[in-house]
Amino acid sequence: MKLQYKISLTLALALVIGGMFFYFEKKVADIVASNAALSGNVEKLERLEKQLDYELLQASFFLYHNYDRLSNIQKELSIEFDGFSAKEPLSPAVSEILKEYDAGLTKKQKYIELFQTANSIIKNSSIYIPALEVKYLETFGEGDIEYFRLLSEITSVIFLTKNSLDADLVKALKKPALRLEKYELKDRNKRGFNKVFLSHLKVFIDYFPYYSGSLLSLRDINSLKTLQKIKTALLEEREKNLSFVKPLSRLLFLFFIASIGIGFAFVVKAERQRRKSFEAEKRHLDEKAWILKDLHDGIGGTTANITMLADMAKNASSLEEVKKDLALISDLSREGLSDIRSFLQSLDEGKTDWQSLIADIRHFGSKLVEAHGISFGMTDNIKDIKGPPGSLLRLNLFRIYREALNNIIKHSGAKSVAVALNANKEGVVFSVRDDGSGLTHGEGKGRGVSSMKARTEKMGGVFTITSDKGSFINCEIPLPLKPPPSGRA
Amino acid sequence: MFFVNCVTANVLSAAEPIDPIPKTLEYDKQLANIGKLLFFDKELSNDKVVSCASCHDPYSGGGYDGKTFLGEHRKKRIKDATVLNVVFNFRQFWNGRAKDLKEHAVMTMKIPISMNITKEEIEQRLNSSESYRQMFRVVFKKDRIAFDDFIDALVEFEKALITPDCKFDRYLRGEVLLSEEEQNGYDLFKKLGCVTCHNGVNIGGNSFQKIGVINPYPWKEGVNDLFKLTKDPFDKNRFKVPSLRNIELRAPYFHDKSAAKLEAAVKKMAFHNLGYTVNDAEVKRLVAFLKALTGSRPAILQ
Repeated sequence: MKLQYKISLTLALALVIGGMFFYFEKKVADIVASNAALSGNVEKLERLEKQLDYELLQASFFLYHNYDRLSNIQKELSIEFDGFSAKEPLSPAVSEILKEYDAGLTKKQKYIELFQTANSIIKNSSIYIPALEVKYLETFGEGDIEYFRLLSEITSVIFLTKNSLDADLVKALKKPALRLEKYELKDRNKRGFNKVFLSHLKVFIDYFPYYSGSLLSLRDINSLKTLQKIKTALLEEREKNLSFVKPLSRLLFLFFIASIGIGFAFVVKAERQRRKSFEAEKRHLDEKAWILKDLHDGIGGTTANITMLADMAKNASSLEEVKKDLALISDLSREGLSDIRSFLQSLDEGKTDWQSLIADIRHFGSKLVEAHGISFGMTDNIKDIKGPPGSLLRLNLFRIYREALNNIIKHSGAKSVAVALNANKEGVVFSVRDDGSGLTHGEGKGRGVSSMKARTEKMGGVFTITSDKGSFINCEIPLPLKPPPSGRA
Repeated sequence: MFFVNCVTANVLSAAEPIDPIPKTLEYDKQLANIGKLLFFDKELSNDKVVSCASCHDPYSGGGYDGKTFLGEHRKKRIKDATVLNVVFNFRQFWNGRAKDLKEHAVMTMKIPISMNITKEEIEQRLNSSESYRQMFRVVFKKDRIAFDDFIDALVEFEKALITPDCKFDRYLRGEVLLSEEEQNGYDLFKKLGCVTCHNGVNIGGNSFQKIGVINPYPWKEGVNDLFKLTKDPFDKNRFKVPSLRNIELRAPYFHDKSAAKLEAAVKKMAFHNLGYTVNDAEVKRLVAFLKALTGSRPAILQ
């Protein structure tokens, strides 16, 4: 798959994963926020329940009470509860406990209404009875000690019962109440008093169970415990919801980061490839420019020489001179053609690999030297090398090679030529050895040698020529070729 | 010493079982004014004989003035509860069968001896009136008047029917002193135990209590007590405690209208519920206190 597609695909994937990550992150935040809001509702309900308990106790034990406070707290509770119940979505567990709480609220309302009725009655009677006893003393004096003791006993038990909320104590009142009812009083005023006292006592006995019963039932409803259960269920629900979403969100985050990382790595790789290809392209263009200039200079020089020789032949005084000039023109033309052929071969895309270069060197060498009765041999060793030799190397190697062979044919009198081409990733070593007469004095500095040396050095290489039982030309060119600056020939 | 006095005063004040009516109460004035028109509109009873105000005249004590023609079938009505300060009651009707004013208004429309009219009929009558449609359109931004909108308007008006600034409220706020007789009456009101049932802003209206606790009060079949709802014998003669605010304007008294004057009502109540026979001087003091509970006319009626 192309790198560009890989990058696009990775980025698209990162986008999708990122989107999913933000979605689940929001879901986590939503779960936490909605749970916190619900817990807030429950805490408010708890506060109101505590207030309600306090108001009930105050209404029960303080001298004065204001029932508005009870109904106002109940209204607030109801509003808060309705608000809570209307929130969506509530889990089945929470909904179930809410139903329990709602049932508790309804019961509570009934018991509070009952408590209010009983409380007002009991509060009045429990105040009236001691007040009546005092009134008896004021009006009648102690007089009948037994009757007065009976009143005192009743007053004490009522005081004790009211403050202990113990309905069993009411039983202890029934006997004195009966005695009071049957007590024979001769004084009409005392009988009237007894009737009133007895009425309050009976009311106390009748309504006390409602009073204590409603308070104890209100206590038993234990709304705070139910609210605590809701809180626990909410916490469990939160943990349950988060246990799936949170790790998923974290995983998505890791995937997101990983996909961004992979995408970035692809981008870096693509940039490297782009730069590499740009450099290769530039090198190629530079090579071409160099080759073209080289060709232009070479062909230009050859053409100029041919023109000059033709003029010389035209004005020659003897046939010998004309022949000599024509022979030179022929040589120059062949050299020019060879240059053009080499140039074309170097541009031939199909012949740019190392094997074709070796084949060309072998073919060219054997054909050229064997025509002059010189035997030809070649060794090669190409390893660990990537990419083709390139037009510049090929062209220059061929020129150096041709120059070297021409020198051998023309001047050495050699019987054999041995060519070697070794290349690895470090560089190319190209050598031509012959068994001829070797270099004569001055030959090592001739035009041909200096041209071979210049070409080698232009490629950043080292050219050496030695002479010992024949000559030995050696070019060591590092790879990759240092591209020559544009315009340099 | 000064500090001790302040603390004592604050504690005593906090212990007051009665709260003053707030001087103002939040309500939607535009909607309440529509409610006011509806409250006085006889077109909204089935036979077009009565309006809400026929039985609950807010210009007097908030109940029936005894003179307005109600139609033959409405004569046997029990005593109408007052519409004044009704917003402070914990529930509505004598037996509290409506949990709030809205429920109360809806129920009242259906009662045969009250408005006796259906929801559809109300909507039909209201929507045939261009002026009502125009007024409702301003508030609800729609062309057709719905029954719920009508109820909301009535409720909003009822919320506005508060009578603040009675002498006793001003006393509670520390603005005036009560006369000696009124003050004695208030002390007696607390001492006798009247305040155990008549407490809170409305001096009643916040709990169900039995009439005739000490000396039984005659019970009549069909009376609108809690027993009518629950069939529990405990609930016989158990009513929502009536408010004592503006009580001097509310004669005759009790659910059965059995006391023509306030003095008689005070005596009767003390006898039946406290087993106490109040003498004339005590009655005078108590009545003086009760008359200090008459507040100013609701602002929406002025």
